[in-house]
Amino acid sequence: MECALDAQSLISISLRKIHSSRTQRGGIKLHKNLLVSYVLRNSDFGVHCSSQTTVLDLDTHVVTTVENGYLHQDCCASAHCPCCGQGAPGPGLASAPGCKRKYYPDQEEEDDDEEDAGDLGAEPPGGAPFAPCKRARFEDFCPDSSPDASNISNLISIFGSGFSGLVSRQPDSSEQPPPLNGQLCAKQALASLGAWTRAIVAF
Amino acid sequence: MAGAGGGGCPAGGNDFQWCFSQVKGAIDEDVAEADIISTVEFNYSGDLLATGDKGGRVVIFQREQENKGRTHSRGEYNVYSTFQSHEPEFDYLKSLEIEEKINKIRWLPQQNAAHFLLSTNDKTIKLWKISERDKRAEGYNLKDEDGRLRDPFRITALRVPILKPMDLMVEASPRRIFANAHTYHINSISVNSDHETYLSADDLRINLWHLEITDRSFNIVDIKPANMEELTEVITAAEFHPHQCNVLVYSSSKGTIRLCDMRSSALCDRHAKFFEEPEDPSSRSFFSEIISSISDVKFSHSGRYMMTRDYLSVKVWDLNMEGRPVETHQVHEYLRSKLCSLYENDCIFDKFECCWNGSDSAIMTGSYNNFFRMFDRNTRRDVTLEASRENSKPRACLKPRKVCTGGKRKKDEISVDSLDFNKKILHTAWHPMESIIAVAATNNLYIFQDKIN
Repeated sequence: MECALDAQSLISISLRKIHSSRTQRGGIKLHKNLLVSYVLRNSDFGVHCSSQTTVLDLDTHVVTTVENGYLHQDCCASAHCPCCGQGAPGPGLASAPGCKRKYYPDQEEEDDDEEDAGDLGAEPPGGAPFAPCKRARFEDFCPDSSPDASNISNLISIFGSGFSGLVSRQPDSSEQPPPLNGQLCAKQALASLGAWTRAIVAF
Repeated sequence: MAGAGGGGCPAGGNDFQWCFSQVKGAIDEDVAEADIISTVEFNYSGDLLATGDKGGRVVIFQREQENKGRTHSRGEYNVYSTFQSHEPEFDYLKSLEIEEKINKIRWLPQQNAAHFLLSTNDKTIKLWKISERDKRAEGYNLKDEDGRLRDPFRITALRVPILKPMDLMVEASPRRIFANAHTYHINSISVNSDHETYLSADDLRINLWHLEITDRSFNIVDIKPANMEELTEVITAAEFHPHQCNVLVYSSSKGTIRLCDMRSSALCDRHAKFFEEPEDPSSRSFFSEIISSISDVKFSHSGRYMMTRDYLSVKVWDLNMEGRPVETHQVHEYLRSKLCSLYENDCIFDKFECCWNGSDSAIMTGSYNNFFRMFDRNTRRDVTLEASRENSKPRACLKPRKVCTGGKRKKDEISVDSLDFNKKILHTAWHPMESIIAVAATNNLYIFQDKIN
């Protein structure tokens, strides 16, 4: 299926939908939000299975792309990032030429027992790409950033835990993403998507 | 092409022509949100047609008795009663606004001169009695003609009040209010064939009510996981079997249908039958889960089949075969390549309904651009028709429409990119016995009849 949007855009749109659902008349629509979370999960897998490996660092709000052994910082949260000028927001932006950090295979920390080198199209030699993975600290966020970013920071402040049932579901082997730190990072992103479900449970 | 509404008509599609009959609603281009029709339902005889809208109002149309003198008069529907069913509410405890939008209307079988229907919004179901009053009592003892109470000590003689005719007045009064039983949004109500009970379903639970009892209901299905984080699917629609009062079905956001038998246990968490079609792995996309979510489930009148509607197709299932549907009809397959845009503009979440004709030989469902689709199950033919003001001349026949999916666009075809996704037909209804259909196009209700009828 042809999709005009890349996975990052889908993630951004999806997060925005979840955020706006909180203010819609009639309260949170459980069904719609569940379906949106499926798209988020699929986007995450799509992200990992593409030839570029792109992950969102929830800590620094940096979207990094790993391609052929090089890390690209697509967009940066903090205003003092040399490559981005004024603080740029989170996911959804096209990658901009900027800082590159070279990947050294020795730096990787995660276990690679299930690693299947054939899954990633352009996997760099030496194993799985490095992907930073820390919890987001959105209070560091640049206030001049785009609505996307402030929405995400609001979302994260709302969220606590989420549809881990989706995350823990075992996909079939054809869509199994390689186990990366980035995958854990994205899993945490997904797992942080649903404190509003707590609100529903309280009802 | 059209399915025959009653018995005795051949299934040859070409003999039938759908023609415009009536349109109800404002012509204004500017549509008020409250006027958007949210549900359409014929009663058991087809003489009454009810609509609910986002403003919480119910409008009931009644079919006029056919005038034998006028051969072309085929019984038009005129307004019979209008009332405010639900009002917006605010739940202060949860800081939630409860919309007044009428999600569903279901008629009760008629048992006396009055008509009864159930209407529901997201949280509360109401039983309404619609009755006619064409007589008025005069000559009361305790009050005079303008209603003022008389001083009892001044009454020196008694009289018997007499009934005098008056202009017909149709009154709607709420007889029962079934509230506080649903934490999540109600998506379905269904009257049981025992005519005493009904079910209401929300995202996670299905409750069984007795029509006479409002202060309690029985929970018969509960799919809420112990840990909400483990939620993977919700209930999207539910319906009682038309003849077997112990059987109900409910559909899920995962594209599955469960049939439950209330005789087997009080809580029907374990299904008696599980209907699921294996997913085609080659058609997998980011949006596979969304488009497989079932938006409507309807039993056939015979009770042998059921029909489900997902985003792109309608499927007919034989209750005796759980592994796959017996029929699959593509509604608008050309949208499969547009799912990204439809996700962006939220259209992918539209919940289309579907309906059977009286003899179960045809099915109908809506689409975009005010198109609606009919599938004849016997001849396997399908047709796309349009509800529009341009085709609104009395008894004008509807011309089949065609969507051009690529390549050279023929005359009278419309290209996919020209479709108006704001004009969606989500709600349609088919007269239980005759070839008359009601199609809700935003704030307008179109009624079409077949030429021969």
